[in-house]
Amino acid sequence: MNTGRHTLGNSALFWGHVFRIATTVLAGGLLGATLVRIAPGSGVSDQDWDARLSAATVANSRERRAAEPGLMRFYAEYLKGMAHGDLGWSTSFDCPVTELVRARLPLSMATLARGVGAALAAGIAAAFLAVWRRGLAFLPGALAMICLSIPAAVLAFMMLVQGWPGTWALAFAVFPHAYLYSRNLMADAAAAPHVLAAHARGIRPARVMLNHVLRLAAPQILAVAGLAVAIGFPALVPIEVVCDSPGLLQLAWKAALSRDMPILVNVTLVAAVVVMAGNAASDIASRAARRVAR
Amino acid sequence: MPAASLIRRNESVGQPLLLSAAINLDYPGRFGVLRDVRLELARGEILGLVGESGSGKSSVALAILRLAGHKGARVSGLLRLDGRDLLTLAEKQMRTIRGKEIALVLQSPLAALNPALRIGAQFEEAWRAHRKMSKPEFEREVKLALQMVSLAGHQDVLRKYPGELSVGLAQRVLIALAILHRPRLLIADEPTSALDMITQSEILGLFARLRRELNMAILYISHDLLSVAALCDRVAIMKDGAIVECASTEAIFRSPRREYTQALVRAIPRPPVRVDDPYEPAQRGEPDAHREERPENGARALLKTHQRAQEPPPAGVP
Amino acid sequence: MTALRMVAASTLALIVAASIGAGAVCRRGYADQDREHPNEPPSREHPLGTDELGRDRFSRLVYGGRVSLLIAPAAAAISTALAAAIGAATAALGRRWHRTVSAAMDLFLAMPTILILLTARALLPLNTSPWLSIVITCGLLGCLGWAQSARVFRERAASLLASDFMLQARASGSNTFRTFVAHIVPNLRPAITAQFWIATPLFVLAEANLSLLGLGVSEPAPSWGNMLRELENYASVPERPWVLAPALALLIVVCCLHLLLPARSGTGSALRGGGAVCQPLH
Repeated sequence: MNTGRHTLGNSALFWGHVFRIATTVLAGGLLGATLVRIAPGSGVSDQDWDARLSAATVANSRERRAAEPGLMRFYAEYLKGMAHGDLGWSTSFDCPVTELVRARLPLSMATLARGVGAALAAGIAAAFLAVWRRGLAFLPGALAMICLSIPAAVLAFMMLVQGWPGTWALAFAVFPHAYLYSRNLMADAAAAPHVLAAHARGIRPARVMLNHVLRLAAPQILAVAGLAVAIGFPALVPIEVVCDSPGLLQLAWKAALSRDMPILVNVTLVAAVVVMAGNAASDIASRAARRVAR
Repeated sequence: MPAASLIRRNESVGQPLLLSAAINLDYPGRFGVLRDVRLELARGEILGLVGESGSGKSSVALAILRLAGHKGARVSGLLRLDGRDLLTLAEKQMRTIRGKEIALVLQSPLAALNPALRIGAQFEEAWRAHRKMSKPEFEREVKLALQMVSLAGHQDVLRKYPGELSVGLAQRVLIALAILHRPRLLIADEPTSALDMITQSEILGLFARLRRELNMAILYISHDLLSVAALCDRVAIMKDGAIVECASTEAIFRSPRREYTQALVRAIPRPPVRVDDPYEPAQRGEPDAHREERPENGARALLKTHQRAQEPPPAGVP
Repeated sequence: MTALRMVAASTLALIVAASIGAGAVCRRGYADQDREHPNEPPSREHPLGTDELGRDRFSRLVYGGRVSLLIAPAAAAISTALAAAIGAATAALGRRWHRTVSAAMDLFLAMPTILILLTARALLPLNTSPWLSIVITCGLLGCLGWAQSARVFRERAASLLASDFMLQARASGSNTFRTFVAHIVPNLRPAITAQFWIATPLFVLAEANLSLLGLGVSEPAPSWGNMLRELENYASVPERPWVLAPALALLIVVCCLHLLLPARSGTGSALRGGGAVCQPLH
């Protein structure tokens, strides 16, 4: 990171992140509105596009489309609706998108928090052990390699067979990333000359690990947390589908199968906000830690 | 390589043997990084270890401290400190030797200090590694160590972070940390290569003084023959993981035996002009042509600095 | 370590050879239905049994390898080429463009790729012929997976542009575009190779996840992902573990690919290097 940003205050950092999220929502919203508009079957239901329906119906739908307000008006209306919490109407569920999101978001967030939390705790602890005692590195390394090579959906099936909840599948999917990133960070910190100097002073290995390795790698490891959210959230799609858990990402999958654009667009936006918020939180924590550690 | 025949203990020091080593060191996939590197150090002796980068000098330092394992290396051979075999020692006991009996000073002083800890905390940590904490004793010893590296008036340095120190200051702090427990052997791995010329000569003077006052042996590792000539009693020349020649500083510079050593000595740059030298008033104004006839002039000039460094300092100099 | 890599390389070569020569390896076609013998356990006739339509699972596995191992490298090639072009162009176009494109890239990165993938897939016709579904899957993965590595290429190209040899070239009065092609492109080549190898296993997994969700390769074309849809009846998996064969194939292939990644290559792999590019698409 460049040093100039070290001097940024906490509030500047916070508002910077808020600004970034707001711009993304705005840009993503406009993009989404465009998609909703151009998508096949926008403003009309799927049946209108069925070739079996009479030409008259199709002409009718075209007319309805033509009667829609102008493009700028459409965007303005869309954004206004978004500001009021109106995210459009789901054609396949026949209810407001806002309602669906509100009903399903908490479950996904809870799974995400538990799964990513467990993965981070296990990954960082395993990385600490692997850097401290190199002989032990093989075990978490092999586990990480295996978890990394199995699709998240298959992990979810395996958990189902075992009768374990989907949270575990998420934890297993995120663990290799948490482990590998933090192990690399700690290994880099452990290779620094001052660690060698500390060993040469006869300081106890455990103390060297805590004071000289972990302490220096801590800010970057905190940043790994944001990354883990970014990795874990998408992994929830196959997991929620396989485990049939009624979360937000299962909704996205159902919407994709029934080509329900308003849902897809808005779930993508919500997901972007969650991922960016996770990144922002870990970035702020990481910078704060760096300031403490200088 | 019959290295043993090349090594003569410096009779002039006349003190008992402190360290004797014959080290083989392999990295996984790179065998023979060090091949039977034999070194002997008497108490209070300064041995220079000279070689190009990549010749394995730094590996010698790590091997003596038994820290080469951190880089994945395997060490075999012989390693005795005061008659105690270090290679068979348990890791726990070895830890009590590191920093207490053998200390290490690394190349770049700012990198060798933990940037996240205040200097004071690093002193405290080094102290706790070998002694029980008692505030007055600790403070007295730290003060003494700082005094010894000419930082008597710099108590405020303890409250600073390494990032706030100049390189020269950081190197003094690092040396003070190394001598906190009055080790019998100090290994200095290229301690001056990151410093400017003036600080360099100050640090060299500091090493000479530490040896005099603490009777501390120093293994001085460097690629810089000039500083080695100024400081060391004996010099070992290393090439490709083996010792090529080991003799007293005078012998190395006056009559190097091996071809490699001869090339090294020849490569020393000559001082361009004879500076006004207070030690040699007789030679002032000597014609330049005279110098042309003496190809080993650079080495000669060095030897003079060496002899000067060995003389006791004039009265009044701290 | 080298021995391990040799084993990985030969295993991978064996699997690739088997899928290329699938016609010679298998006695049955991947779509041949034996209605008399559905859901059979492994036998001499059917080494991995048959599925509910009576198709030979072993044949489907081998032919599926052809699809999975074709899509992943192709998608990796597309995305790496896109990433390199966009990254290098952004670096070359100077500060103002740099900022605009970076903002767009950040926006793209903030959206979880799989959701964009779902959205894009929903925009395209779902009931396509199997072979078109393969092309669509490959194209989507390739076109949507570039953002992460574009960042790597942008930084790489920017640091190359600021390097001394570029200054030297400019000082000797070379044409800007030609210098760029002559100096930057060859220097990006190691990064491009590394990115390709890093991306390939990710795309193998992405294809599997997508097909398993019913949004990738469609039946009757086999792929390791859509074969795993048999797991839906998970309660009976312990009694017929052979349905897990595609998962095992995936595990072996992806492990081998990871082992073959250059240790600490310029961009770094997630397994050994410090790279920040190895994010899964899922």
